[in-house]
Order: sequence, then structure tokens, then C-alpha cells
Amino acid sequence: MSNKRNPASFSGLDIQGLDVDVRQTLLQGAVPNKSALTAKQRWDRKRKRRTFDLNPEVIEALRVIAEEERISMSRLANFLLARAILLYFQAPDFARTLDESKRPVYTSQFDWVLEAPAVWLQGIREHLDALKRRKNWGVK
Amino acid sequence: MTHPPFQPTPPRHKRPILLDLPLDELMVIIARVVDTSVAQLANFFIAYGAVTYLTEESFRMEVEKHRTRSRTIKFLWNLQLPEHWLNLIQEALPEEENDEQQA
Repeated sequence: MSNKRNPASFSGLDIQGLDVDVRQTLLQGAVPNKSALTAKQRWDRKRKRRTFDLNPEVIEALRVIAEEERISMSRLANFLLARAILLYFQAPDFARTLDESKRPVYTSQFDWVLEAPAVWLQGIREHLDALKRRKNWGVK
Repeated sequence: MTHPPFQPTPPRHKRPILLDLPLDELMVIIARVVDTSVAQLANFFIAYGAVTYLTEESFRMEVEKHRTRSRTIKFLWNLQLPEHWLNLIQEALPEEENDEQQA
């Protein structure tokens, strides 16, 4: 929670001399009543959301597959991730492909850039095109 | 002193997408081991998963097997992560990372 108040005063009163916990509670402002939260609000608090930069083909694949299976994109992404993580630990070939897909980069943040192999992206594009043709995508 | 000629920024090849990710901590650990960013690792892993789904019937069956009816009106199904996958991943994690996860 952001605190833009002056830590030395609360509503014009000098709170410097108060107990640390009391001072912190005063500065924190309204304390949310957890039992009054709706199920949706409780769920939202537990969610771990993150923005990812993904290849357009990968996003499109997530969208199409999620639509096909009638599930959410996040659930699908998690399932695919779990599968790949498991494979990363169990299949040396997969870990090797990962290593081979890294190339050095000269930024201060990372030493390596990891790109999905072009063959995979090409494969995704071809299969998605086939799916769209099969379903007369966009034709009403 | 002459400046190098102006180079326009190359077009962005990737696009942002916001996802719920309960496996976030696990991804952070692997990204650290692989020495890359979580986003790039996620892109790689999801691309692999998508290719596998599109090309392997057995994986499509696996997805179907782990669907359960959703109670929301937004989606017809939920997709559960298989418990044994998570156990296997937990077992495969490096020792110190495993301790970190449990802590």
C-alpha cells in the first residue's frame, strides 16, 4: 500500500512519540475487512498475475486451443508450462534444445536470449492455418 | 565527432499478454538455473506445449482427461494440473531450490 502521508504527523497531530505499531496502523489507513470480501475479491487477492512477452504465434495458439477446448488461456498456459517443466527435468534432449536455443546478448540485464526455435513457430503457424481453413475461420 | 547513422527501432516481434501463473515461483527458479528471463522461458515452454498439442494426439487426449466442469459461466471447463506432474517436478528440483520452495 502506498503511503504518501507525512510519517511524522497524522491529521496534523504529532505522532512521532507514539508506539511504532500504533503509528504504523494509523499511517496505513483503513484496514480491509477480510470477511467482508466477496469470493471474487478473495480469489483476486490470491492470483499471481504476470505480463509475458510472447511470440504472436504462441499467443494465437493459446487463443485457438483455449477456444477449441473451452478453457481459459491461463489454465492452458499453466498446463503447457507444467508439461514443459517436467520434460526439462526428465528429458535431456529437451534441456539440450533449450541450451541450443540460447544466444549471447550484450545487455546489462541478461547474458542470454532464449528464443523459441523457428521450426516450432513455423509448425504452430501451419497447424493454426490448417485449423482455420477447416473451420472456415472468420466466415459467418 | 560524427554520430552513427540513425537506426530505426526494429519492429516488436513479441506482444504482451497477461496471464495467471500459479507456477510463477517454479519458473523463477528454472529461469535462474537457465540464466534467462522468466518471460523468455515461458515463451519457449508454451511454444513447445502448443506444438506438442497441435501435433500429438496423445497430448490432446491428456488435456481432455484433465478437464473438469467449470462452475463459472465464462468457461465450460477447468484444466487441472496433474498432481503427479507436480510431485515429479518437486522431486526433480535441485535440493537447495526444493528447500527454498518449501520454506
